[in-house]
Amino acid sequence: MKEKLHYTQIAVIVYMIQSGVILFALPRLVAEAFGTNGWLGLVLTSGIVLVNIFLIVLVYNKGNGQSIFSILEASLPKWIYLPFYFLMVVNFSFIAVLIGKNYVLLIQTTIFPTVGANPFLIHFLITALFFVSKGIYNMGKITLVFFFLTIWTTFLLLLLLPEFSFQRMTPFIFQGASLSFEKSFEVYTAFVGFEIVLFLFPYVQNDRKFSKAVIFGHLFTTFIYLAFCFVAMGFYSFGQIKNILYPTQNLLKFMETPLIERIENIVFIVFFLKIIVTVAFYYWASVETAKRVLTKIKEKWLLLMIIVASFIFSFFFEIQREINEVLNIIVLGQVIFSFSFPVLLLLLLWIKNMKKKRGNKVA
Amino acid sequence: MRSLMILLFVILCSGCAEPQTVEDLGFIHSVGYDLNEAEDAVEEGVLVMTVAIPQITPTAEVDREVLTTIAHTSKQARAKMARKTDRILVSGQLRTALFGMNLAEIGFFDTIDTLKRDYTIGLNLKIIVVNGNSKELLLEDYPEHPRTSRYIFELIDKEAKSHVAVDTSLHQFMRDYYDDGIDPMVPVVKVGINEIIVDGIGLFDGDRMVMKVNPTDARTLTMLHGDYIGGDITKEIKLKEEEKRSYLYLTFSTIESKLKVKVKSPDKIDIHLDVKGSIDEYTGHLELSEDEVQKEIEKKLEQHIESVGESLIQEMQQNNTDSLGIGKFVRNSSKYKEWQEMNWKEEIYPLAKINVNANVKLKGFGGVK
Repeated sequence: MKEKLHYTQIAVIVYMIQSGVILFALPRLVAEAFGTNGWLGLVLTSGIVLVNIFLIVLVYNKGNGQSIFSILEASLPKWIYLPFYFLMVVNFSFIAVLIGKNYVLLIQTTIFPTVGANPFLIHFLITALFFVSKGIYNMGKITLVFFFLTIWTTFLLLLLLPEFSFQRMTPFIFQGASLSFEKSFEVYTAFVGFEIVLFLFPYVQNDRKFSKAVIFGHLFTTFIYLAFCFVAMGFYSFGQIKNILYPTQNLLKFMETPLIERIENIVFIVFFLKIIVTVAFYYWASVETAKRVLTKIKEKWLLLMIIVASFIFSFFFEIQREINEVLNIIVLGQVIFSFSFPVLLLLLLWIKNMKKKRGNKVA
Repeated sequence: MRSLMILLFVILCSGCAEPQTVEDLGFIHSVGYDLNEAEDAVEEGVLVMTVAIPQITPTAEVDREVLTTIAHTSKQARAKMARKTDRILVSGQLRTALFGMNLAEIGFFDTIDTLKRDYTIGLNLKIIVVNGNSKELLLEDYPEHPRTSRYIFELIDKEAKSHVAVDTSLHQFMRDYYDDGIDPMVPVVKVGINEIIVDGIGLFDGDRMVMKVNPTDARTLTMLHGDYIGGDITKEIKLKEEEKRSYLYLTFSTIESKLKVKVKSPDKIDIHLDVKGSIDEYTGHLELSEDEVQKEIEKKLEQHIESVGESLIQEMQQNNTDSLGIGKFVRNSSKYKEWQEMNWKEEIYPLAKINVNANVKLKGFGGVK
């Protein structure tokens, strides 16, 4: 029997790709976007993502699990999908490298101010290189291991319960913020990453559990986000949370255990495992796409080329502000992609079916 | 071979970090800020900053190194102080931040900025106001407590447990500062003879300290602030059946208090306290086991708590500080728009009618009848 990704692995992969550095800023983002009790806004945002996931699942079901590339290539001429592939390769690899650099800069500003960001990033990318080169099935297994190595950090929230107060949360819902598209979009980007499952189609067990796994993974992310934002909003006063750049990091800073003080330094390093999964899977998607065009080059070299190219690209952005500016544009592209691409695929499948039916009728 | 190359590469890359040897570092444990009141303060700097660093050189005679300087900002002061010591000053171990009374009275939000901006500083840093001058407090030698920083830290920690002081961390200070329904409160200390003495609780209006509560009234204040366990109240009382004695004292201790706030309208608020505790000390002759005596004592204590509580609240209203967080209750019982429009703290709070209602219950009176 050929090896396939188990559905628990899929759920874990979805969660691990989605949650990342943004968790550190999320309580502030929801407070800015939705106002008091902004954590409720996450439920709404998560609902929109669910619609998107539903589209992806629909593609999987209608296409009987065939890969998105074969759907595209079966009905579109080469000159249309080639530039499209190129865009995908570039977008995915840039997202990967910028997420990596973002994390590295965060570590640099908070823990190692004297270390250069680029040597750091090189370490990071070497790890990513090894990670991706192991192939998708092993990536799935590694992700599962990393999941268990990181999930304990959520339980640290219990340490904050003595400082939690419902009174501070106020009974007001969505007050004190001007609902702007920009801010809500920032919250939405916290969920980006689930679209990678589009590329997993050929590698999953062909049963109905795939859709459940993706949805479950996403709901798990929502739950973790909700837990952090809920606790943060009862821990900080509303005026304060809007003033702190990384409220989640500050939560960790406050925690004290009998043995360890300043636990946030450990959590920060452990977070590396989460970020590396996100980065690795984006690179993987990038390679998967590049593979379709550059069939002659070995996959290993393709990966190396993409990583080096994206690393060179990241050279142009030295500080977090610059990275965030670019990342915002690229992620906007990604959000549009993850909504419109499944729609396009569904359309192609529909046209193909219609043709088939008509063909049958004529015959 | 190839993996060896990569390993070598990785190791070489990691060599770029600047090494920091513990012996070369001066871990700032306490920092004190005062207002420079000299005439040339505007040119020289308005801030007097003093830091205490534990001494680690084995041959040094004293246990700590104290540096002080005048500067415009905290980080500038650190750079100035660095010129006076052979160690690299780092703030990762900072535990207590002391503010002199003169600075606390004009507000120290600008000074606190560096404490929350600096990633290396923890959020559990204690904020303390010195009744007097923080520079003098840190420079003073306390022969029985050679490590001043540790001494202050433990002192506040311990006293907060018995509610003579409060233990306000940087996080709690900022949280209440930014909250529109409560004002911060911090412990106040002063210098004694060869010792540091806890001198009550300082109440704030924004970042300015506007009122000080005496240690004797501190437990009543914390009762009104939230549900706490521990602490004691000592009171001179006059009981009906007791023979006329001029010296009759009673200590009521290990208090459990429960607070209920009822907002009738934004300017009419009832505070209800359920207090339980036991008698630790009594200098009279009556038998405390008698129900009548117990009931009378309960009543006297109720009156005491109510009158102290109400006079504290009145003083707070006059000074426009809402450290008890009554605003939070008012906010949470009104609509968002109403709350935004009412300007509760400036207009309504100072004139509001706030009643304190205490219900005291004696749990025990010790091992004698």
